[in-house]
Amino acid sequence: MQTKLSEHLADSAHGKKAADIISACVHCGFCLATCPTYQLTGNELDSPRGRIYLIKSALENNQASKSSLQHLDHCLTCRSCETTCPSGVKYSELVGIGRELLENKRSLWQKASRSTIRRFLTKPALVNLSKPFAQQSAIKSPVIKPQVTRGRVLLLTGCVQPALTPNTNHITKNVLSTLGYQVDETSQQACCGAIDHHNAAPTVALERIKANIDNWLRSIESGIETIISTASGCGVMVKDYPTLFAPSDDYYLKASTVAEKTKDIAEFLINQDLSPIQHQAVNVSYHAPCSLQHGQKLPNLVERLLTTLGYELTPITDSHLCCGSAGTYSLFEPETSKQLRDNKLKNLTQSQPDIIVTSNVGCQLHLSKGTKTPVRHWIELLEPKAD
Amino acid sequence: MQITQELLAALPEHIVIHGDEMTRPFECDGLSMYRQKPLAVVLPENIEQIRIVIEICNKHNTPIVSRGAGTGLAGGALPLDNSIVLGLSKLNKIKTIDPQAKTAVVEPGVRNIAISEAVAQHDLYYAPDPSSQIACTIGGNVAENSGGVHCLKYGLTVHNVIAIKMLTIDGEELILHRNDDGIGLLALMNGSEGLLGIITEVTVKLTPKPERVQLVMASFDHVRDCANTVSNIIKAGIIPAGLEMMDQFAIGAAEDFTHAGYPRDAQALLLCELDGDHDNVEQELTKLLALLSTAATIKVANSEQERLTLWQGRKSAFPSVGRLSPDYYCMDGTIPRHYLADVLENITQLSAHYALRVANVFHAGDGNLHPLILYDASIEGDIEKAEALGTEILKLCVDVGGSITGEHGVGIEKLNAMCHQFAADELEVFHQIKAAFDPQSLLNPGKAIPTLHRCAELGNMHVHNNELPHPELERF
Amino acid sequence: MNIEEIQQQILDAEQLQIIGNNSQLKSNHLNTLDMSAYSGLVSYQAEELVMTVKAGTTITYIESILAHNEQILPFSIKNTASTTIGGAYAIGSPELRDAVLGVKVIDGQGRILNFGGKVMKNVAGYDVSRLLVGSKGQLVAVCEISFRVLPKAYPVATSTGTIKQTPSKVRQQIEKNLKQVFDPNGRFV
Repeated sequence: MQTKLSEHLADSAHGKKAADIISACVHCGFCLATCPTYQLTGNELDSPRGRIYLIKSALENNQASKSSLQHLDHCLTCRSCETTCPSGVKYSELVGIGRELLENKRSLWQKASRSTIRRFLTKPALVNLSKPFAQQSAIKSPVIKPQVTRGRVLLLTGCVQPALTPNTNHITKNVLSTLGYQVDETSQQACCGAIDHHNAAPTVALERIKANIDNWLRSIESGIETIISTASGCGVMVKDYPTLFAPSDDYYLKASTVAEKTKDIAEFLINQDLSPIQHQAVNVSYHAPCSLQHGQKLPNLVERLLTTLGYELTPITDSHLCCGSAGTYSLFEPETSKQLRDNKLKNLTQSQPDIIVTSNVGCQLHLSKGTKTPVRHWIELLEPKAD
Repeated sequence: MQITQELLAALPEHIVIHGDEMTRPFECDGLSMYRQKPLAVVLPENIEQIRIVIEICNKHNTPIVSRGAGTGLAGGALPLDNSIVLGLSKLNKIKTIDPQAKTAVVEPGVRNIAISEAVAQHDLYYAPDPSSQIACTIGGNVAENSGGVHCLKYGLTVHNVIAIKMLTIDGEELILHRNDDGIGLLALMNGSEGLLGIITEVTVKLTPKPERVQLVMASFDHVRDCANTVSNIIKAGIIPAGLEMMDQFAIGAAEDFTHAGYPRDAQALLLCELDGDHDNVEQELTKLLALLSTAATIKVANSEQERLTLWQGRKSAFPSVGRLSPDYYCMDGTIPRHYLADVLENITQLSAHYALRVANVFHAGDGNLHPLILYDASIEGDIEKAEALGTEILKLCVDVGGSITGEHGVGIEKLNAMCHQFAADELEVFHQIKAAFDPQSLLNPGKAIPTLHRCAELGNMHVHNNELPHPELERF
Repeated sequence: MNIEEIQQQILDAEQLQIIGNNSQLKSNHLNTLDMSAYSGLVSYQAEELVMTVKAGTTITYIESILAHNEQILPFSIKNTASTTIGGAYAIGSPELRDAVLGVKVIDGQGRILNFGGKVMKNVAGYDVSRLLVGSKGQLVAVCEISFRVLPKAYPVATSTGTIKQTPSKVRQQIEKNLKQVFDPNGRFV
């Protein structure tokens, strides 16, 4: 579809980029089918195609109101539509531009509350305060150090994970050590930028991101071969760093280097010899986070890994649909979020698993609020064999 | 707007969408070439709310345009000026499934593929499978009499619908059944493009999953060889479950999306699916492979996963073409199969003449062409050129005894082409049939059937169906 | 008999009853239009799986031609040696309706009209050729019928028959309106 940019956007880089993305959309409507919010409301305005149209209108007539913004807010940015779209529309980039464009339509009250939550989540000191009542999985096993060094990796610590699910990184480090990798860690302060980026703080996000890129490039220069993410929500953000810079920007190439080096922990382990590792004999259901299957475009990755390890996974109905966590979505759109979570849990518990496992801390915390079945990062199923 | 106020007063607020900003995303369906904003959009959650909309629209003499998922490719759900769009997407419940009788009763907004998914546990499926089946609704399928890649063997929507419930423009319920004595009103409703009534419930026929399904992909260095192979397969007494052709453009675009393993350098690709009991498929497969002597490569899918991936490439071929061109215009002409090679060659010539690329991906088995004319709406004159080329292609189809539309419907897009296919008397009968259901012409008026005036202005293009004894193909 | 003669006969009559070979619709009217004389193959290309015949052609004859090409009719109907395809069309059955692709008819005003075509898929205009299946000679005189045929290896559709019941008021009204469309002067009785 063609977009005729309004006069005041005609020369803006954002406007041109958006128009360019929209030109790939042929309005076929395939995306409606796999959009979680359209499935709930049956309303075109809550579908990717409808939102693309709202953004297109906003770009063309500059008259969008907060009604358009509401429908953009209602989007989970789960990117299921991108997996479905045969035309290759870069929806998440477009919706990001659309949100930025319409942010000024937001009420002051909403702006204030969103900003507070954003600041809270990106301040480790504050997040850590919630540890006593929100922590999901504590560390129970001793720390293992590598006996031989086959290589060096950098583990993205994350901001929420160390406080609320510390065992994820702990087990990850033990597994990597057992396999012979020396693990460096980023500091809890070094948020990937996703929370700011998705909550109308592009400048703050970009500052963080540039700082990360600089720091991690130094690590790469010092011999780090791979940057490992254990939260797919952070992983997808880092992998998407290059989209935030124009190809002419100095940071574009730097961001591309960082993105290329970044791997989800499953992506890293799937090619490793895992014989020194053992795993718990339990029945599991795996929840594939959108940020992994749609965002990082790694469908069936963890499923394959778990199957290789010997787990029997029953196929999950609607496994392509979001659980409703979606970053800060669960805080801002609680009703839809809960509905999606209930649907997701119904499908995940169909086979009466002992434990539900996933790849993203956001999904893990969100899902565990709705079920008695424990929800963990799948890496917690593993432990080094005692020799 | 008074009518909007009245709708808001009579219906829950969240199902009435009004105002420029919010109605704009409804201004077109799958054919975004034509646009028109409606007065309001109503998304009813039950039949009673549909009745209220009908009543209010009657009172205000306001047209109603019904819409499913808005995936139609002929502008059938394009809103009209001062119309109310009645979107049936919220009515998406599968009411009952009867595995013994092999039927399912569903609301009109149920997605085509959702039926097959819901009945899969009984080893059944719903046979018609338009490429948009992931998204398109059964109500829309009935309105358009949708086809798909498997209708060569299993028929169109009209062959797979057992009954419908509909509301007339008076708000009265009419139940139509396949086995009703007398004239075929149910068949008439199939493909009536929302002009005769509002479909509120559909009972579909379910088909048992075959014991074995075997997909064969063959590539060709020459389009003509591929086209002739299609004819030869049918001539040999095989009716494949699907028999599809793609040209080089379409192969490349689909491969970019699905990575199905299509041979990019082939000039034409044939997908032929055989199904039935094990022995039958085996026999047909032997016969089929012998008929592929002109193929450059042959691949027999050896897993269900591979079969599905090969089909996914075909089914997403249209939108995949969006990767090649900012806009495309999809045609839907049908022709007798034995003209396939000639017509395709003519399309190539026309494409060169108009300097617009044409990608071909289509149901070769039932002679249903889908030339996709690639154009760029931002280039001045390109739309008009695309339309002119499209018209030429459709005329060509009619001239060899075919039709201007096999499964997409006439909508707004093929009104001119209708003048070529039908004589004034026939068009008049169509208008009278509409009046028999909808005397005030409030249901999707102006779609599907051109006015006699329009045809007169276009000049006398009509050739009587099939009556050019030896159509002069090389007339360009 | 040619089509113009049929047309003339319709225009000349105030009322008339259309009959075939008298096998299913018994004549009870003095003025009849006997379509059985209008018979024969119009076109048939086996590879297209489509046949077009004049309405008076007998099913027996059609089947013999098809057998020659190892093909069959996709539906079965109660058939005596003299049953015509036009008669079967007028009586109607869901499976026959499924197979119909197009018709040439003469309406009550004597107009020769073509609906549908000779291709498998065709959604241009309302599906009048399937609508008129089962019209019992009350709406139009059916002159030519195009229908789908099958290679003989494929199964014939099971006959499911029709359910006779009093139509609803809405249906009656619509049928009355459609009679007005095709035969406004009430010629066909």
